[in-house]
Amino acid sequence: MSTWQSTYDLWSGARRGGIWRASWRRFTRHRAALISAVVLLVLVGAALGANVLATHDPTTQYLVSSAEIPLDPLAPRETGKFEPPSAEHWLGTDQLARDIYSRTLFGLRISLAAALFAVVVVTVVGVGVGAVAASGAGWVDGTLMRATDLAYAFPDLLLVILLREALGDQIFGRASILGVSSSVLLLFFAISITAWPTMARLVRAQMLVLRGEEFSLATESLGASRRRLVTRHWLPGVAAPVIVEATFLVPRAIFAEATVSFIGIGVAAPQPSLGALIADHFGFVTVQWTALAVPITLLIVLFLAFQFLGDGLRQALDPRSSG
Amino acid sequence: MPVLIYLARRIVAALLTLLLICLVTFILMHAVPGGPFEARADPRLSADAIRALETHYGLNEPMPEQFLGVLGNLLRGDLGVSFAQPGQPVSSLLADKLLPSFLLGAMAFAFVVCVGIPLGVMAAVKPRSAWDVANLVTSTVLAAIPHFVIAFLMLLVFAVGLGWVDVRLGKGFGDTVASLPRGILPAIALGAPSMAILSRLTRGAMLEVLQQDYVRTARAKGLTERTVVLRHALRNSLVPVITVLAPIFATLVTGSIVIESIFGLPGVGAAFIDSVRQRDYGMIMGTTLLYAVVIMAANLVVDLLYPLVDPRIASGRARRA
Repeated sequence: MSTWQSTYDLWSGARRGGIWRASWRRFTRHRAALISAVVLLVLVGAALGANVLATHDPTTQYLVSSAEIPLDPLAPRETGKFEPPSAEHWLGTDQLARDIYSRTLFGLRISLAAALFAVVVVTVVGVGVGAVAASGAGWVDGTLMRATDLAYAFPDLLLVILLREALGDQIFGRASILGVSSSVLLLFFAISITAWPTMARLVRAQMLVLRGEEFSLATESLGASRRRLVTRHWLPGVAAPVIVEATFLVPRAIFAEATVSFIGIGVAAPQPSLGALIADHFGFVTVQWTALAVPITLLIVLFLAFQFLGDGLRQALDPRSSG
Repeated sequence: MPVLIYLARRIVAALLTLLLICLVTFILMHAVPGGPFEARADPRLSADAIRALETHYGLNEPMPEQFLGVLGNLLRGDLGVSFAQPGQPVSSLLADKLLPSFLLGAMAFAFVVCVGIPLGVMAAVKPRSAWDVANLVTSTVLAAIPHFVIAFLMLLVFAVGLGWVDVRLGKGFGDTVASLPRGILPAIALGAPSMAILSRLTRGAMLEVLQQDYVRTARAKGLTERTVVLRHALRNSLVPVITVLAPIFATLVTGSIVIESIFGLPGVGAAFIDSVRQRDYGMIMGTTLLYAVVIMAANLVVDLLYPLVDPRIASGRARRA
């Protein structure tokens, strides 16, 4: 569609309730994004309602003692492990006789909560540093660029491993926040440390563009302070790309957690997270495949949904797109 | 020679970054509680022996002095000795571990480039065809699966199901030339997500180039579609593709930790986790620095490649000049 027509779209959208309503209209036209949003709402709902929806405690072992002492002394005295799916255990039980359905729900909650925590940290730090770099003194900008150089060259996984081992329980203690244990938060904190420079660079670049626009000059010549320029004009201007980047960050944080948990330095047992669940049940796939298939499927669905959502948001929040 | 000046400036900047990485690693690894010589590590060590060892390796000195000592050694190209494997120099231990990781990364990179780019080109030549859609679906799904899951599914199919390969496939990889085929499956698993991303990127770039006027001119001259695509369009469409090749290469070489542990490959990954656990300071520092050098070298190579691919970009100027 021509520029003129999309400008008209924007204008008419503005008349009928503002730029956000226009964005919402564009968003609803992106079918994959809309479906993804619904899927994510369901998953977030399931994660929030894990207490209610779970049929069992996620960390309790539901061992069943056999009634009689078996003749063979080597035969297992206790069962309840690797139970097939049943009315009692909807997805069966794992190698420690824990309910897979309940564990997966709580794993989903922990992965989502912690990923959101990481994204909030990255966004706050990234936007703050980026904004200061774009509007502040030259040495701030220089320092930021050195820091991002450093973060780009530092091997991510090695940094996460080092941070995880170095900080241990020192930062957050052993307390848990909203049911998410400190070890999980620490892990995601380490992940956000590797991710914020990308956000900071994005914000800086976008703000430098806005800084060169004529409206900035106009606002400044009307006597607006630098602070007002940043908070009222530039920050809203970078909101759209920041939201999109943050959306893409969520699945990346979940993946990073899964990877680190998989090599055994992530979430401390017996707390489930999607990554820990996959790592836990890896060796037993031929015995109890549901324990592995469900978290993997969730991981893939989450990744795709956030990806489509990000695509949809990118189109919807860009006033130039007519989508 | 502007290229040489540019190169020199980049190398100086890289050395500065390396110094910072060295500092951060030093702080972090000394923040890990405990030291390399503790009764925990070896119950036979008496308190006196521990003190003697720490004095011998200078671990009792103030931190700034220790850091300067490490830096001094590094400047002489000396990574020090391993604490966990006494008497062994870090450099030779690292070389042993690094070779398999590096070979695996290189094989994965070859797979990504040799499969990803042709797939993307083929999809762009016939957009919206069944082939293109199939390609889109596969690459979207591939990019959405963590690579360790792909690796695991491969083991399940080829080792457990079909029995074609051993479960500990990667054992002895990199020792001899004959052991290289053992790395094929791990390399594919490692490279699959990057391959998917690269093929999407190539498709997008190719589609854009194919709509340009000079391509229409080439077609109007009566050139075959093959010549138009391969000789006229391909080179231009590779400009954005090349920008991601370096990060992909760095990711593959430095990101094989999980794949190595799944396939039982003897690589840097497992060694790094061990060295952190054992507080083997020399090994930690050596691994981090080597990986950082790989990443920075990859980025530098790409920036040097730009002017070769796109003569409009002169070295030393900004990328998107």
